Amino acid sequence: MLARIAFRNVFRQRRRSLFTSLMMVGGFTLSSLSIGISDGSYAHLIDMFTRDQTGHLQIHRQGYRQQPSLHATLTADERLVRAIEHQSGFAAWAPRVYAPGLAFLGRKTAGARLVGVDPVREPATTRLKQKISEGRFFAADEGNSIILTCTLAEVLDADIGDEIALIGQGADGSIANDLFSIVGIVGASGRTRVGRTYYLPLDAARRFLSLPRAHVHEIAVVLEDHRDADAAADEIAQRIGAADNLEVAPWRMVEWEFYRAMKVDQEGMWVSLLIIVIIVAIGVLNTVLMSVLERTREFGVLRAMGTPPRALFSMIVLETTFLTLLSLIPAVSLSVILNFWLSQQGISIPNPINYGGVLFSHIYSEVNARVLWLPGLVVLLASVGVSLFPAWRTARIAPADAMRAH
Amino acid sequence: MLVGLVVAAAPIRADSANSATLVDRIVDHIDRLYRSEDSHSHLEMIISNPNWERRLKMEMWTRGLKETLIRIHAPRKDVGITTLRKGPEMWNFFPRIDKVMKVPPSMMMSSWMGSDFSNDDLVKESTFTDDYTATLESADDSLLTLTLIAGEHTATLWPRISLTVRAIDLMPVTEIYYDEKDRAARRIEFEDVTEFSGRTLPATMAMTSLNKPGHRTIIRYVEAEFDTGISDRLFSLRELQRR
Repeated sequence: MLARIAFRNVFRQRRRSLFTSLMMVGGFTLSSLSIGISDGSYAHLIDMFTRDQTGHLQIHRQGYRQQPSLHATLTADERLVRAIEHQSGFAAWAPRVYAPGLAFLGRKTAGARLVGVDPVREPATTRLKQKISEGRFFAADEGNSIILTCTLAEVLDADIGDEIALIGQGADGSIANDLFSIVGIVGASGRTRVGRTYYLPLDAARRFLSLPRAHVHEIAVVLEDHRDADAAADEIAQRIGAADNLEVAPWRMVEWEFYRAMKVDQEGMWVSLLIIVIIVAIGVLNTVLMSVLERTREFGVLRAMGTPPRALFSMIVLETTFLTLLSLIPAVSLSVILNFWLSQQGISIPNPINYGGVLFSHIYSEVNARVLWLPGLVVLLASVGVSLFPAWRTARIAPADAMRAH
Repeated sequence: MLVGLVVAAAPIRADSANSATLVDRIVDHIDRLYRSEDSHSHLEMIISNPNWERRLKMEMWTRGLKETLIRIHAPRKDVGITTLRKGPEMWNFFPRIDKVMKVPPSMMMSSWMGSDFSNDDLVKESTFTDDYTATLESADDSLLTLTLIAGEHTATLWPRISLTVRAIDLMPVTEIYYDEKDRAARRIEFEDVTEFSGRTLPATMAMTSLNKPGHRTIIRYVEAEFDTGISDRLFSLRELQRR
């Protein structure tokens, strides 16, 4: 009976309810968007970062990450490949070999990191191929070709087609030395931070370093969703078993520095989110408070007619609750639509931001559970919480005073 | 120690002279054993360690103490890699990339072609006689053991060397090198005493690294000839780059 009156009260003064409701919808959507954009940009950031080079998880011989050694190889045999590909949410994997090396071109010399990449698997796993700014990526059966980062190309004064002499340490103790012709350059100078790296086709790199066939230093795996990385790493490790002495590490362990910096950054983001949420709460509070105070006369009449204070209190709180719940319907719909739209279109940034060597030109939002329950909770708590005080005051008011109030 | 040649030393009987002269004669004999006016030899080198094993075939020319040229003939991927040593300087030539690289002083202690011999071992111009003081440590009917202590002004990695030779012909049996903390760091065993064009010397030298378990390099002389008068043009940067 009380609930029904409260419910009917919501629609009695349509315009007032509409304004209060609008405030709630607006507040909800605002905080929902901020949370969505915050989560979305980090998800996008992680995605860009992991897809750049790291992958979502990596497999090495135990201890390789701490102390890389040319001899600490693993074999991408059938059993290992099966352990990887059977992971739910698996998307792609790519093997790599690493070694330090010295490059000569004309009179220029540059020390750099050599990375042997699979011409077919690497483009499916990371964006290396898309980052080629000049020339082309490796063909499937590429011979002694080489791709340089733009930084290295600048140091060596190199152009597509030039022959580079490489010297390194062979796995059999020999001095690895061979000629490679430049087919591509990665990254554009002055835009992103790209290291000094040269890429060789995997087989050519293995030949150069005298590494046995199928031996690699690293397997990078990407999943459909980076958030599954920790669980997937555990599951793959379990399937491989301890016998092979391999280590499966999720990206946040591989790129611990980056992850930690991002976490600190994200905590900073929470402070600004909190401020937005407080502003929303104050806005809702203000509207609810006004709409209750406005009706002091009405409540005075109800009291004079013998409505018990407790019933009056409950009625006011219930009214606010109903109004809030009703507002949540359009609020949720609006937030989902806006967040979804922003997650697809993104907001373009006039001056792209460089974060961890990856260039960001758009900010993206994301639709997740937090985007809805957190603003919902905030609006509900703010409005109901704020109605408690006027409800309590009204319930105790002397009817005569209340009826005289304007 | 890699370098060189035998000067045929007449067998010395252990009981011949007094101990001081004997020690001097042994050290002098060892110093000359693998050295000569000039030499030309074919060698095999087997390098093994826990990670890999590699066999090299190479040809070596030496002249005096200062000049050495080593050219690799096998395995195929290393064919033509050539090392030239001239006095304190050293260069490597890589025919595939057509590059001569000078070995910088900082790399002198690094391994030569992945072996347990350092670049410095190849370049070394020191002799036991000039740079070490030798004392007779023990002697029996078959073996004599000498301790060599580096002189104060000798720049070396090995302040102490223990040298064992056969009493009968003074052929070296083992050399043990001690580092600056007096830990045995490497041991060379000499085997297969063979005659090459009239000179007798141990054809096999096996170097075992005592601080890196499982690291071992064996050098075997396959052919050798001495004092044939090698042209000094051979020890030049031009010859280094000859393919």
